[in-house]
Amino acid sequence: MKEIQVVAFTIGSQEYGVDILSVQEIIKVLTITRVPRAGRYIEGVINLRGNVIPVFNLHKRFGVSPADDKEEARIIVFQLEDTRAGIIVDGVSEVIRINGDAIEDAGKVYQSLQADFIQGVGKVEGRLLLLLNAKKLLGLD
Amino acid sequence: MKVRMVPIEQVFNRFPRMVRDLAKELGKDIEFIIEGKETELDRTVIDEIGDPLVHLLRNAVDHGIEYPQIRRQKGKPPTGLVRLVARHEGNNVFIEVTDDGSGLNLDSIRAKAVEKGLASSQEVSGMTPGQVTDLLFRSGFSTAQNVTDVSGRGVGLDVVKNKIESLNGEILVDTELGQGTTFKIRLPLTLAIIQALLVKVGNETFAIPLSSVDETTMISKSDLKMVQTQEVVVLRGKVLPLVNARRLLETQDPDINEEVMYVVVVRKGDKQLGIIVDSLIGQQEIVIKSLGKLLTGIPGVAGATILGDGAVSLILDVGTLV
Repeated sequence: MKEIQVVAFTIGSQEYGVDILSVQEIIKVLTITRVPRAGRYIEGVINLRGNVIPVFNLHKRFGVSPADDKEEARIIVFQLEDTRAGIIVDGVSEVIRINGDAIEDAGKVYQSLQADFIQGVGKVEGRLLLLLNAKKLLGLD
Repeated sequence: MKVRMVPIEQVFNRFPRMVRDLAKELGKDIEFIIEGKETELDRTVIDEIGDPLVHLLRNAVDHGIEYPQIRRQKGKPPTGLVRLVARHEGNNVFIEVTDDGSGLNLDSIRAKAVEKGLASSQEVSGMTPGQVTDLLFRSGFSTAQNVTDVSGRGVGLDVVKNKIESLNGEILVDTELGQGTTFKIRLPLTLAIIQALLVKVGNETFAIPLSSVDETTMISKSDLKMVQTQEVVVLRGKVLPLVNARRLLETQDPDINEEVMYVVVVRKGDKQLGIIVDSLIGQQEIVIKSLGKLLTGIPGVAGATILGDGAVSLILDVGTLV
């Protein structure tokens, strides 16, 4: 399997990774406008240089509480085909190259419902990264 | 910015004469009704929409409405009715062309499609009415028995459909044999600019399209009355039901505890409704932005706009809010 590059970020105490090709940019947390009656996991919408983009709250989705330190919080903006959307994370650490054979199949680790947007578990120097499928995560697939 | 938005009147204005002349030429008796000509559309759309509408109206007059004697035989009033209606709805503008004529004969469309080689006879017999009417929009299709110089100009409905789709819209047909046909065009408002009333609800700002606002007023708490569980206020002798915007929009603190309250009176269909808001900010032109694929179909939200300070504010859709 070939090497992939992932953007590593944290939500709660867990480290996650997403394929760098699906990420458009990483921005500081802007003012978020709440959208009444949207799903629970929708934090709201932001103005990204004149475009209105929805932002998802994965803390609610994963059932973890956000970090106390808001300084490091970021919004990762995905570009998936013609749709853009962001997720709030507690911090973005780095871009990591992961070798294909250092990725474990998600099915081995997870059996819950959540597993469908978890692509696999990446092992990097003793750290474990849950690799997410952005498309499935945002319900686009 | 305002220059870009043009009332559809500009396009509609040339139609009454066209329909009248056509009807005269064909010896038909037609009443032509236009509604919603003040509906505003982006100029680029206005420039493009004329030809498709001419086509649909000619179709309605030529193929839709029957001759007076046939209408009498069918027990219909001898004067045929053609309606052209434009309106805003949520994130879209709808334009409808309706006639009360003979309706589309689905069987002859089926037969024609087979004859033209657009589908096999097995295929057409298994089709739903919706699929059959979709055949009309295929290229190389025309059901008129005789090509007349009115609507049979070799240009079919496929051209109309392509034009509408190039504007990111869609066209639908609704028909009942003997009762008439409606062509419904939906055009997105993504480019559109509308007049809106900005209001504060809690500490958030929302925009209400001015087209659905009748008036704004102030009431004091003592004016509030209850009819069963419904809060109402008597406004100039009329009973006006009230809803609390904070509740509707699920803000954190749902109760407004002020002596004086601001009410936006909106029209929903033919009813009036008062929405209690925290304060009125003012009237402003706003650019409608879509919320995108991930947030479509939220009841009460028509889209968003970006205010002067860069904040995103949601546009309320009165029709689906309550």
